[in-house]
Amino acid sequence: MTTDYKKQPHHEFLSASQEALGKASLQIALSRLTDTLAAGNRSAFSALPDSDLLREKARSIKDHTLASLDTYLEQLSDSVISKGGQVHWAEDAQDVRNIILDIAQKKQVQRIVKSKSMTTEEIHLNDALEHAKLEVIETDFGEYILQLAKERPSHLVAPAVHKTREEIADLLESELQIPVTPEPEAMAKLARAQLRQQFQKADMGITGVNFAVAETGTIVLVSNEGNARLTATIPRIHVAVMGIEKVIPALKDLPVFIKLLARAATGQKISVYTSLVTGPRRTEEHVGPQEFHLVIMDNGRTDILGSPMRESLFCIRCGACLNACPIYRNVGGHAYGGTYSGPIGAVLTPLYDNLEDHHHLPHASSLCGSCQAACPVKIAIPELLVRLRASLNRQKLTPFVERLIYQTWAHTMVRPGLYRLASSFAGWLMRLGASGNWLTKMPGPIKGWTQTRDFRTPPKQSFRNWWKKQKNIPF
Amino acid sequence: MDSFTHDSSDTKNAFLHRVRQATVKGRSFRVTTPDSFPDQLAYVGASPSPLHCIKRELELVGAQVYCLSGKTEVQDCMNQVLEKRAPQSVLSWTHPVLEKYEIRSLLHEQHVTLCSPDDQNTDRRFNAEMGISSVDWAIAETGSLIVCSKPEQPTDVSLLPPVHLALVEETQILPDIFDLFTLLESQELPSNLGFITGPSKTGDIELKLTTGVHGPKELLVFLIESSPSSP
Repeated sequence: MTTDYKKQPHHEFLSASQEALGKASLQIALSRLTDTLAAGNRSAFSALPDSDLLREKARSIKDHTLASLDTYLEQLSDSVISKGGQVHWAEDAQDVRNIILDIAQKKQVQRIVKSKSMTTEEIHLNDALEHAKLEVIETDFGEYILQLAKERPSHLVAPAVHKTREEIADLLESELQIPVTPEPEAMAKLARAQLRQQFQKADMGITGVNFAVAETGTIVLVSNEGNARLTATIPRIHVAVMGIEKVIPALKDLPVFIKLLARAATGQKISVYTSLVTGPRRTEEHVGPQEFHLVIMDNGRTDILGSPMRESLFCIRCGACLNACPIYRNVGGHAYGGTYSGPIGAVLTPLYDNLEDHHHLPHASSLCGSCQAACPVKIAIPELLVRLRASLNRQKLTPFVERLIYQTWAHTMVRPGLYRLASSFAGWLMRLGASGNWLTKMPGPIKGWTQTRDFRTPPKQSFRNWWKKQKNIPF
Repeated sequence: MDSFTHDSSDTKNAFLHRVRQATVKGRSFRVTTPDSFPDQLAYVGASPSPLHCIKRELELVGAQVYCLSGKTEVQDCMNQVLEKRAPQSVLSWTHPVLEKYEIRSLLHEQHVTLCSPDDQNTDRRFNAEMGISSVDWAIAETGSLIVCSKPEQPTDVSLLPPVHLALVEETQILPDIFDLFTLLESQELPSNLGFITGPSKTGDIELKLTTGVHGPKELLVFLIESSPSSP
């Protein structure tokens, strides 16, 4: 499905994270996430009454929907059509690209504006549209910057968080040939002027979908900038692309998610703009798109739906797990090598793409549980990562020596006599390789353990032996 | 793309068939959640009063709030805003609240060009300097303005101009988001229903809060108190 970030498929995460750790500007950028977004998430949830139970409710709505997903998707489709919209079914990324190209061709579309959508990032839509000689402009400020820089987003809700203001100013100046000071206000003003021209000229607007309400045929778009609202209002054709997991049953379910999404993402009570789009403009209306198309995409999701990884489909793409994750906060989003980064990316990328090329990702976690604690729908991300690690082992995608070591380990752990023998042998080996009280270098396949830290050498007498010799312990 | 049949019923049926099979298989992996939830779960409401609450929340999200009472105060404040900002052209709704305070004639007196809802000249709409609307509802809990698209209430009034001014009467304020959705249960949804909570914002450069990248840079709200003496 994706090939552009597979130049070094087998060491990508490790080498990319090494590089990220050494980049000072990235480290400063990532530390801001902790201070702003992660802190905002915690204080917003603590201020909301019953927030923990509300998260359970959101989780139960997602679980209920997935248990009758086919029914809700059919209802959604019927509702959209009854409101004058058109529905398209896309099995994979190629289908989505063909559907949109087909609409563009039939409706003489030349210029397209897009609002930030991870789903269209996932299917590399822009490349396909540009290849067909269509002009595509990303309108989210962060995505616009990345489009000019030809880079991938590094965060779910703050895609250009890895860039400094000076880097952005240099980029805008060189790409637009307009001088600008490295002040966010000045750069936002420049982008506004540039993008307004694009909105006015555009024939088609492409958005993602935050939620789709089966009962009413409504798609919900959330943004702080207002670009999603412009994209869904100004061009004559609006195309919305959604994964099958975005549907919710009824309108009454929506406030549950509205109350959670912004709090989880940025700590706001609600994002600046939330739009409920129900079909194209009505016949008497003068503003709004004349056509509304909804593309419902599978792209591997049904495989996940019928598997123990099903819970990953609850994700509402808020980015809270990224901000909470000690790994993400050190290596940033690009190191993960997929469209989705952070803890949820470490789950989704191997599932959407393949496990073999992304075999480091299930290990890119200390399983500390911060992601699950921050998640507005409480996805058990650590558990899903452990399941992926088990799959790696079952599919023999781990090195032979590693599997042999773990098999021996498992064999030993259930045999007390063998365990005692092995641990005293290991202690002897470690003392043999130590310099003074510290073991600084281990050989061969276990050298990774001492690459970034030293071990204290174990004492000659083990705890077990010491315990045996104690006479005065009453139990 | 010649043999392309994406919207045929075959594609839809095959798609839904695949989803159905996975749905059934996935039922073995359902998660455990509580069986029922309290009715008023996470209901925040408005304290101490809807008017106080919405003023506080609107100011928190960066709106400029004017608390007014009676026609004279509203018209005086409107004149001050128009004098200070001197807009050449304005986009506007047609709405009972705007008519009640005779906003149209105030604009006329100040020689402001009014771009009416059915004016389809995109240059005029894109270049308007101020958008004037009322709301369908407002939500005290979050300081959100709810605007529904209708022929006489185009979505772009609160979207295209750099300044958006909204006239909100006390009776239009609902305490909580949940109250809005209770009301919507019994209504036909418009093609576009928008929540507007403050001026347009971005944090895309170094997570620094910056306003006005796409939508209005300034949001002005006239909060009009209902009083027995007001007409």
